[in-house]
Amino acid sequence: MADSEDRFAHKRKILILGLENFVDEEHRVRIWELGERVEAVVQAAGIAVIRDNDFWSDAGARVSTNIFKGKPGVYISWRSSEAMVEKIEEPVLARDATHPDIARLHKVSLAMERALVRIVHASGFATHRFSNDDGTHTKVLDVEAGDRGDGRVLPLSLDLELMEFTELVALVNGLAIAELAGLDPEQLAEEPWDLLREHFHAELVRTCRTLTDQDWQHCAELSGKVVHLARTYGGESEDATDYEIFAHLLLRVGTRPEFPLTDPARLLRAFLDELPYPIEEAGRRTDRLYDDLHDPMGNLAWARRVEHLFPSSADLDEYREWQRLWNRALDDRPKWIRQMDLSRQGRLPPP
Amino acid sequence: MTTDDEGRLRELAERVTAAVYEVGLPVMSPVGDAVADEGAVAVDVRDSGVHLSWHHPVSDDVRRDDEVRAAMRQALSRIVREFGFTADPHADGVEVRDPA
Repeated sequence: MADSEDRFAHKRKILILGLENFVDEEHRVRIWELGERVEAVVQAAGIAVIRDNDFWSDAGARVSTNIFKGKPGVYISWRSSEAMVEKIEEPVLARDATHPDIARLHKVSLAMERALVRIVHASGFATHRFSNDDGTHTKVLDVEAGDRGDGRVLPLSLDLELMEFTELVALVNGLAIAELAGLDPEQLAEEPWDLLREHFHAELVRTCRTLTDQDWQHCAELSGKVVHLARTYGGESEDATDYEIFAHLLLRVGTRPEFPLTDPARLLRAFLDELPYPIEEAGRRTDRLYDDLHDPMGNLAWARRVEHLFPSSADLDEYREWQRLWNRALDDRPKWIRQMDLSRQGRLPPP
Repeated sequence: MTTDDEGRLRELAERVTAAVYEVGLPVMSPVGDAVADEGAVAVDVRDSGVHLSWHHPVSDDVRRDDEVRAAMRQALSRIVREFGFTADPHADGVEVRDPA
C-alpha cells in the first residue's frame, strides 16, 4: 500500500457500508501502516505482492488488510497461479476432493505461505494462524505495538501439516504438560491436537529408518506425549491405540523389542487389552460374540500384517484363540454380511 | 558426464522449470541474469543433478537475507516434491533429481 489507492478503496467501503462496521480511525491507520511494513518485507525478499484490489496479477503473496470489526488486522497468504487454479476446476465441479491436483494446490499454497511466515518472522513480526467459518488464516501480529495475538498457547501458527519431523520433535519437546493443565480447557480444545498426533506419527514413519537408538527412545516418549495430549484435549478416544503406526514401524524397521514403538509383544498385549472380557468368558457368550467383538476387531487387519513378528507366548496363544472365536462369529453371519466383514479386515476385496 | 547424462539432466531441468513456472514463481534465464527488483528461482544443471536456488536483491541485513533464502529453499523443496521429484535441500539451494 505504498500509494493511497488501497486506502481510498477502504474509505469508499466505509462510506458505503457505514462507519459502525469498522474499527476506529486510529486502529485503521495502525492496520494500514502494518500492512505497508509487511508488504515492504515481502517485496524485499523478492516476492511479488498482490494487493487487496489487484484482480489481475497472477501468483504472489497476498497481504490483506481487514478493517472490519471482528477480525481486523493484516493477513498473509499465497495466491496460486491461474494455471494451477484452472487445473482444479473440473475436480471441484465433480466434487472430487481427493483429486491429486487439489492436494497439490493445497500443499504448494501451504509451502509458500510457510515461507512467507518465516520471512516476516525474520523481520521481527509474529504470526498467528487460526481457523474460522471462512477458512484458515495467517494474521501478522505487530509485536512492537504489543500485539501478542489472542492467547493461543501452542506455536501452531506454523502449519502443522507442513512441519517436518525435526520441527515436530522440537514442538512436542517444548510442550509443558503441567503448564497446559493450568490453562483454559475451552481454549485448549480449539488447538489441533489430533492433527499433531496424526502428523507426528506419519512423519515418524516416514523418517524411522534414519533414527538412532537414542532417537528411538526419545521418539517413544514423544509419541506417548502426543497421544496423551490428543486424548486429554483433542477428540481422541481414551483407549485408542495407533495400530497402524505400530504396524508401519514394525514393517519398516523390524522387531526391536528394546523400544516400545517396535516391540511386537507390546502391540499384541495392547490389542488383547482392548478386547471386552477374558478369553474364558468369550466361550460362554457365543450368541453375543459378534456384537461384542465388532469394534475391537476393527484393528485386526493391522495386527494380521505384523502377526508373523509376534513372539511365541501365552499372549500369542490367546490371540489365536480370539481369532478362532471371531472367525466362528463371522461364519454364523449371513454370507453377504460375512463378505463385508472380511473385506473390512483386509482379507477380501469389497463385494 | 556423458552426452546422454547431460541430455537427461537438461530434460529434467526443463520439467523442473515448468513446475516452478506453474506455481507462479519467476525463473531466471540459464545465462544467469542479474536480479533487479524482484527475486527469482535459478535453475542450474550440475553434474549431480538440477540445482534450484532463490535469488533476491541483497539488503544490509545478512541474517535476514539468509533466512529468506532458507525459507524459499524449504518451500522449493516441498513444491518440487509435490510435482513428483526428489529434493534434497543443501546450504546453497536444493538438489532435484528424478525418482525414475
